[in-house]
Amino acid sequence: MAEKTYSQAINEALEEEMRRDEKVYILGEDVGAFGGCFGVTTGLLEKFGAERVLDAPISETAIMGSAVGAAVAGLRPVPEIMFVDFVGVCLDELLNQAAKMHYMFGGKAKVPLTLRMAGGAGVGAAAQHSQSLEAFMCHIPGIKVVMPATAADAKGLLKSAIRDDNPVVFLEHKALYGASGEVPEGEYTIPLGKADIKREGKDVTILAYSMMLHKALAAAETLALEGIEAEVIDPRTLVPFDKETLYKSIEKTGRLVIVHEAVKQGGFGGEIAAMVAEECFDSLDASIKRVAAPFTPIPFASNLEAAYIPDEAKIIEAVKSFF
Amino acid sequence: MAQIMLMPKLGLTMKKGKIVSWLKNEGEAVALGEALLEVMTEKVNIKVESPYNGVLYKIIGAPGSNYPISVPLAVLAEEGDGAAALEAALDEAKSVLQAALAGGSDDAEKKKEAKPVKPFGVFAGTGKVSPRAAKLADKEGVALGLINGSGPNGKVVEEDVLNYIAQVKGETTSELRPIDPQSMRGVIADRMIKSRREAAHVTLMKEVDMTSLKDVREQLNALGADKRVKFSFTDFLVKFTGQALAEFPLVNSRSTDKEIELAKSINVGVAVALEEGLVVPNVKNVPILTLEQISAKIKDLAARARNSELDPSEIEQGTFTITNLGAYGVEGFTPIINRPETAILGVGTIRQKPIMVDSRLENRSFMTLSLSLDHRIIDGSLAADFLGRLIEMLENPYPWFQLQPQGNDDLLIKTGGIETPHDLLEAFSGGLAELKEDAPELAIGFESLMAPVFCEGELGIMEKELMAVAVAIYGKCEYCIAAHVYNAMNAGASGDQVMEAAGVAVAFGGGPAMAYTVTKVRECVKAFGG
Amino acid sequence: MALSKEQMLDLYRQMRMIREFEETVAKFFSQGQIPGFVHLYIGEEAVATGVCANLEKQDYIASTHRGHGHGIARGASLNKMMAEIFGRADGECKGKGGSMHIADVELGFLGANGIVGAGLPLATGAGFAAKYMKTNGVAICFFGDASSNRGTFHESLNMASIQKLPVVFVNENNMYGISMSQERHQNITDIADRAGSYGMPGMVVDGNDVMAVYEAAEEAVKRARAGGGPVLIECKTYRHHGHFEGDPCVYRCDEEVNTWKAKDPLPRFVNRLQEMKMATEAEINQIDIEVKKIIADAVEFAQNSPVPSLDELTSDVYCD
Repeated sequence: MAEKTYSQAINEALEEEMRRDEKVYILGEDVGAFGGCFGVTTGLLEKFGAERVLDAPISETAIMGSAVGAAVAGLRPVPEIMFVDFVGVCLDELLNQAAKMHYMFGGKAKVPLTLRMAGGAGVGAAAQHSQSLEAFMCHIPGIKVVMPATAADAKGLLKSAIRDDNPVVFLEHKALYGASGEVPEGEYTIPLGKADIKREGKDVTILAYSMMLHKALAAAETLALEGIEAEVIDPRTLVPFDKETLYKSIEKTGRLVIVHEAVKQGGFGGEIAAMVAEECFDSLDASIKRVAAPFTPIPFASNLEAAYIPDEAKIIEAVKSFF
Repeated sequence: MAQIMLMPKLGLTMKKGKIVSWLKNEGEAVALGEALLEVMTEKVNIKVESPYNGVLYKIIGAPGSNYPISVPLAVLAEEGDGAAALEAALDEAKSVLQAALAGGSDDAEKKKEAKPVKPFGVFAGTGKVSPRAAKLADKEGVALGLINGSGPNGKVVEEDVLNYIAQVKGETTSELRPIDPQSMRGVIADRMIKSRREAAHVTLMKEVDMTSLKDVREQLNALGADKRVKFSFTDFLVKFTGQALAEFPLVNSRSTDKEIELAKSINVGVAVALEEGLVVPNVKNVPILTLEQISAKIKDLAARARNSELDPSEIEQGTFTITNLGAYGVEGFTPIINRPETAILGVGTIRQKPIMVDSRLENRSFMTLSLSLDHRIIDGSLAADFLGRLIEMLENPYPWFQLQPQGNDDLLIKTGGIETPHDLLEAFSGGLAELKEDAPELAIGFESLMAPVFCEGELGIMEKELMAVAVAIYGKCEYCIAAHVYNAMNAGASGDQVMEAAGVAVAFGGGPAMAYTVTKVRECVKAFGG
Repeated sequence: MALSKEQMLDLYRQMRMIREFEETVAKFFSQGQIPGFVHLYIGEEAVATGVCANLEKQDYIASTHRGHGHGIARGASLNKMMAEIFGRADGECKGKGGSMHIADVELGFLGANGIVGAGLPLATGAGFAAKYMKTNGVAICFFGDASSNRGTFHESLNMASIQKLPVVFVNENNMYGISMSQERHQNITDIADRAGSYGMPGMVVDGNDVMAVYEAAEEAVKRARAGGGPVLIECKTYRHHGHFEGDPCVYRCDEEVNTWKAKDPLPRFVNRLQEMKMATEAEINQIDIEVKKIIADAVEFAQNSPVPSLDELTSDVYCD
């Protein structure tokens, strides 16, 4: 194990997969010599050349659309859309092309691409550069949605995503790029659709992903001082979603708090809550709580942004409402 | 909260009921327990009480119609119910009723029966029970209404149900302990059930008069007080049982399925109750032991049994067992034979009872012996004879210890009703004696009056006393009758002479004199004659 | 390069096949035997036929909502295409795609597409893949006049140009974006003029002249295959039917339709073949009879195919 940043871990995954499979290439705005807006692709141009690390014009549609075409034609593109907020620009290529081709073509076409995008607030990037838009991605059948919270998970999951024959949306959190974590040495992958119990507990289940995992873990430590042992589950992949791990945990604890940074209304937490209510109702000893952002665009001013982002205190408050 | 009145299940087999009539009108207040409607089941008409306090909001079950059990019949409004909640409840009730009536097949009825409409809380939507708690309560058959919720807003959560169950279990059910077959309890269980299964148990019960033995025991204990010897009834029982067994060898036998062993020695076991069960050490060769030796041996065995210091040989080779539950106030019981023995004697408690002895009411002590026998080996008549012999010895113990009865007068019961001639005599003379202490002049005066009259003169004492008998009868004084009949007969009067004197009194006194003559005079003649 | 008689007759057969296929679809659609909606290629057969005659096995085409002709020209199975349009289990896409999503990736047919202009970046990506994998392949993108107003057109031509990708953008200018005529939806007459903006050659050809299309495409495909980068070819043509079957076509006049029907690519090519003494009437008739038989067989195949099993509803959402 070695201490690495989330960004380094992603970079390593890209490098390893590009070495492993020549069909893997990177395409995105400023991913070449610039190393990506967040530096994630630093050094890859030098290692693999301009044929495999392609700077794209500001053309999200063409980036994503050509990646779909190349993927159907047999390559494994890893396009990068700098901010997830820009996905709207190329949404047709994701929603109507990549997601549906395998099905529409009766299973004959494969679209093995991994669309990397950076999301998340907390850096003062305001309304068009800070969103968490996973919910509507999860609403599109045919794509997988991955949201890693740690460096180790980011690396292992990205490698799995690149090897996956389906289009995978890989949502990175921009405020986590500099966060360090233990990353296993050598080759490893983490399967998509497998949640990870990041902390065991018996009194309440907190489901949190991406940046919110870290807030949930911090909240759990505080709660432990008061005798409440929270189990913290990181689904890591939202589609496919590991229901089994969550349900088992709820069977144990009887209580569920879902935490995500995206706005609560229409958020993926609503889907999880509905899922649990439908399939796991009898295990609940309390109503399900969601801790999520208010239904508003993300503000710029630091104090407003801080108020917008769900934090430890809100998680603790939600948990305590059970007791 | 709006409440739904359901067709009640008014009997084990009731599946549906017919509404005879509603006893309240819509809009009318109804109290909990007040008759709300009359329902006819297959068997009987029943007035159904309201399970709620409130107002009969709407009736949806029509008189004259049949409804399956548990279907809604009416909606009751409780205080504070809003119109919307009531209408919602009414809609729900109607739809449940319609659904129940539409699915009129047996299956549908069964389903309804299996899952009756939940009448509480459903319609107002105030989820006061967590689903997890509800599931647990359902599984454990706990009525949620009995549980106080500790969750947010008083919601019943799982923990509340668990606590409730723990509390209820603590009150009503026992702790379960496994029986280790190697433990004493395990061995006892095995032996008891085996004996019960193998031997043909018959139990004879008979009462023993223990008065004499009590006397003997007291005398012996008094004699042995300086030696600190104190005999128990068990000691005597062991002794006499040993003797009886010697006389009835078949009762002193051991048996297997195939053979009967007539034991050479008579080893009488005494059951000793311990905390973890029962042990039966035995006193070997009882007939050759003195009562003192028996007593000492029993005390020693019991003490060592309690300290788990018995030698296996002291438990083995028993030929007969005595088990005494007298200390627990048990009178009679049906003891299980300590196999391979063929009989066991159960000893009950000793109780005092009033009993007529020679026309005297006596306070005597009785005890019931319960003899269980293996009828495969011992016949009832033989067992009865054995028991009879044992009782005979117990009831007449004096010769066995060279003692005489003592303190038998204490047995007399003083009654407040009809007094015997002796009582009368005693009361009178006792009274006079006391009078001498309290008022000597009066006593002396009376005696100085009487003495010159009842002395030998021209008339003999007997004649004078016979005359006194007649006068006493005429004077209706029973004390005088007793005293003068006694004196007359002491002076040589026969019973006939006393009765003739009484005849003189009857001639003058008529009926009352006759009454005294046939009762008191006759009793006194009987009592004092010969 | 002059074409042999055989190649010329193949062009005719291909156009006739498309015409027969589309007329048959129209017939069954009007009878209610085909669900949904269909956009027919009648009148535009020369474009697909002329372009695809230049393609090799490793090449790709990306199509449009009006895609039957492209698929047939690329060699897709007529039976499977017909079955797909009928919504049957033996269709190209197991009956799950329908008219607008017929594809055969094995054949390099990246599919018809329900989104106007969506094929442009797909073909660009396929061209990238061909270049990346050095297959010597080219990618053709068929797209309509109205698509040239979409961002995908701009982004794709620009990206293909800067990356010098082997892509030939074939604009089928049938003069209408649904009901909106070209003169209303853009202020240029020749879409090919836009090629210059992206630094690539643009050509305008008579889209109803299969030979003209063939020759333009031949030049563009050669250039692309040789690493010369993308080309934009604008083929002026016309759809005889409405945007979709059942379109009342209130937006155009009979006169216009008749003018274009007079320029129908099939009779024009037959005349030319006869003028060039390349084919006799009997030979043409013979082809027509053969084609009718093939299409009739395709209909029979489609009608005999079962509807998809309900298991297909949720299968193929993801690859395993």
